[in-house]
Amino acid sequence: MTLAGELVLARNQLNQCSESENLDLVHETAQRVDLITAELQEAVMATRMQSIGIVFHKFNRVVRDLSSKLGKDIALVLEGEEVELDKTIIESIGDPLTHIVRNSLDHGIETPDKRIAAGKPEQGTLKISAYHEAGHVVISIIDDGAGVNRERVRAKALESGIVTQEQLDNMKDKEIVELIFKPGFSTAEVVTDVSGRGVGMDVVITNLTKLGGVIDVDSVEGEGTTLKIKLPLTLAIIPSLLVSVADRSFAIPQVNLVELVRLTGDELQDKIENLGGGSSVIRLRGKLLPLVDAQEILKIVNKTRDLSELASINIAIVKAGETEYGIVIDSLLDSSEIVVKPLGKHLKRCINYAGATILGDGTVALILDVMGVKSSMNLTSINQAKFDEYSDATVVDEDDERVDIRDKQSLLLVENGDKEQFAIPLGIVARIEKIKASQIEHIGGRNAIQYRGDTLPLFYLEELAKDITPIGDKENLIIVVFKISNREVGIVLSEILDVVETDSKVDAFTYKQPGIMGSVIVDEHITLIIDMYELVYTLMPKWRNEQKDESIKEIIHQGEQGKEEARTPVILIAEDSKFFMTQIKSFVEDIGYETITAEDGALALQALKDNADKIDLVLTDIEMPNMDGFEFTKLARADERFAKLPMIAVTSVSGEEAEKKGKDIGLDEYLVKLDRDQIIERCNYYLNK
Amino acid sequence: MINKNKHFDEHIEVELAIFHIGKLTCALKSLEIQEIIRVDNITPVYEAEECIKGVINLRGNIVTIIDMGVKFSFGALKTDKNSRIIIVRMKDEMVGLLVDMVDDILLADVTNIDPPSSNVKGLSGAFFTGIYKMEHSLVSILNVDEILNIEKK
Repeated sequence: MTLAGELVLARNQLNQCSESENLDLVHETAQRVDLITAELQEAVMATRMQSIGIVFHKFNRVVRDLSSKLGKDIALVLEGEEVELDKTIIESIGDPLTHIVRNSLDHGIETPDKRIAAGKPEQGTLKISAYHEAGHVVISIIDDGAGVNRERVRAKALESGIVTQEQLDNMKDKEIVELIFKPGFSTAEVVTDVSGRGVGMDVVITNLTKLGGVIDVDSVEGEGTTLKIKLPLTLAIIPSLLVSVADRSFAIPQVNLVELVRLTGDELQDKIENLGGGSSVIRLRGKLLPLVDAQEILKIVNKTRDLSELASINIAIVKAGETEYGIVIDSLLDSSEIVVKPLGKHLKRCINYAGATILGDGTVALILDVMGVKSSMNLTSINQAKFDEYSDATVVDEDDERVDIRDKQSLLLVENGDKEQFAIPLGIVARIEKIKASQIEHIGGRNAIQYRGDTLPLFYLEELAKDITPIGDKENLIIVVFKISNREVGIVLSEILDVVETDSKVDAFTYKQPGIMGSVIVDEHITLIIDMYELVYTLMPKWRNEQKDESIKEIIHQGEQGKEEARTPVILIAEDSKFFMTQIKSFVEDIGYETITAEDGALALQALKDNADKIDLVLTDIEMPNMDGFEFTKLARADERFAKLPMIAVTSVSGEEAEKKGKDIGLDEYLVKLDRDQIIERCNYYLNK
Repeated sequence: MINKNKHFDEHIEVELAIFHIGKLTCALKSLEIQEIIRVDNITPVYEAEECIKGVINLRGNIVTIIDMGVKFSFGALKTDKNSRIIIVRMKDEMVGLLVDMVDDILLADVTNIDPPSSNVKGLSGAFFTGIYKMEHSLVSILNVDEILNIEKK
């Protein structure tokens, strides 16, 4: 109520000051209105929220009734009943969930005698939990049953004509499991009155999609099945990305959005393949995804454009059910929370739209329905077939590419003097400041600048790397700030050019000199990579010693306490790129640790087994040939001796998903390559534990 | 509809809004009209039926706009400063009819309204509920329900 009052007051104020023509005052009031509306929105939405327990509780009965009917012994575990969702979602989630639960009970969990025969506890467990994750609610349904029987799925899918033998042969394990979501699919050999009546998981998917939810299945044969449903908190207001197609705005709900890709020039030629008949695919990290042109689906143009002939394209990769595909859009406008409004009855035949929304300027923007676009473009039937054919033909190629993709580095491109391009690994940059040359003070033989009441020491590239063109006399300068030995320091540069992701090989020899790690080719320019640590440590040798002293002191301290024999800790480094290997090795050897190196996961595992009692910590890359970091960690963890060994991933492949996967299989920590201080800090932490 | 007619019959006079669609002079009973607005910023929906001009934002509601020129097969209407959108209600939603010009609102004597002929300028008579005879011209009174009927098309 207070809020409503406040809103009225703010409105009055806005009315008043809009007449006074005092722009500042209008801004200020608009801001207040914004604030109050946001609070009010939250409050109103909160009244619509209900806890999911309402839905969960009815499963107690469903499970009890069904298990006695099926002659199974099943325990139900409910978690996260207090998680709240919008009323409309709560109302419609019950049916699909019940369907999944019945499926799990009927096909998933085995009868007690089968379970005992498989060496499992007699009682099966079905766990249903709800939790928050990144602005969504996830409901997971986990059973410890037999898992999805791949053979039976294959046979059934062939029999019912959902896929061809050829398609089956090319499918990954996960894709086979996902076949259960196809319409008309049922693996139950005998149709029971519980499930297997041909109304399959596809109905569940359709219902969930209506709610803006996505489903993911993960099944290990003999161990069980996990289904994860990701739902938006509310349906009325959804975060979405505004894009422009032919000068019109369209909204794509964030929940459907996987990533955004921009391709230009050669890259575009490389990654986009025209399959003829107006369909194209994009090659993305070893995957081939169908591509649709927004201009075409929205019937703005009738002709199909040849995408590979454009100068550059923006692609929104979206996920519709189990299919991922790319939509070619003209440009990205903004990401914002939009209010979904239904379209009139005359437009219900336009399946490409999920509704409309009103933008800040009062105009209407249509909301793309990724499921609708998928079916209106026939992405599953026609393109999928072509697409499979195609992926078959390019298998060899893909493998080649994978080698290149390894160790993608994000680099900040900068300029020092004229015409010389430098790069700084983005992972170690704390922030970037713009300054005037006159702000720099030269004191005690060093340069510094006053920053928020502190002194920020500044270094010039040419102080150490003598052979490069000096920065010269420039008024506007850039400082790249990063942390070193718990201090913030800045490197003075003349200009920021770009941030790029590169997979080019790093040449660590040709241009190596103090302060320069090596060179890499970016946009056809030879670019020198700045070694910030070496630069600072060479100029300020005391700082390096400080840190070294500290770590050694700690180790000695530990030795004194008699916890462990005082000896130099040994670190195993698994890393396939020589360049990064040298870097990481020098980081840790610098502060006094010993290292053992291995070039891939398999060698690392061997080295680990050979030196089982010597190695105190493992630093591993994720993307490596022969055996990747995940596999290596999994296998190492499987060995009892290494169950407690600190294992840290040092990688350029970051992202929540990879990180979660890593943590799940037993990695202690996920670090970004070349962030020296972080690597050392974490090593010290684990070694002193 | 029948009920409504009865309602008008009792009043003997009925208020009509007179407007033009191409060369055709039409009318709608004012009680069926929610409001008449100027044309502003129509967002086109390209893959909809041809007669759908697009959608607009009417005070927070998304309203579908039907181009009456296309609906009556006269060809798309050119929008200018005289163009108007007549907002009518269809069950629980609003629909806008794009017309050329609204020029009058008058009280019509029901005795001057005849049932429609089976076709008016080549259009199905079903689109109209009656013909109102004015001094110099004939005005076709639109049958909103039929125009908004989705099933038929």
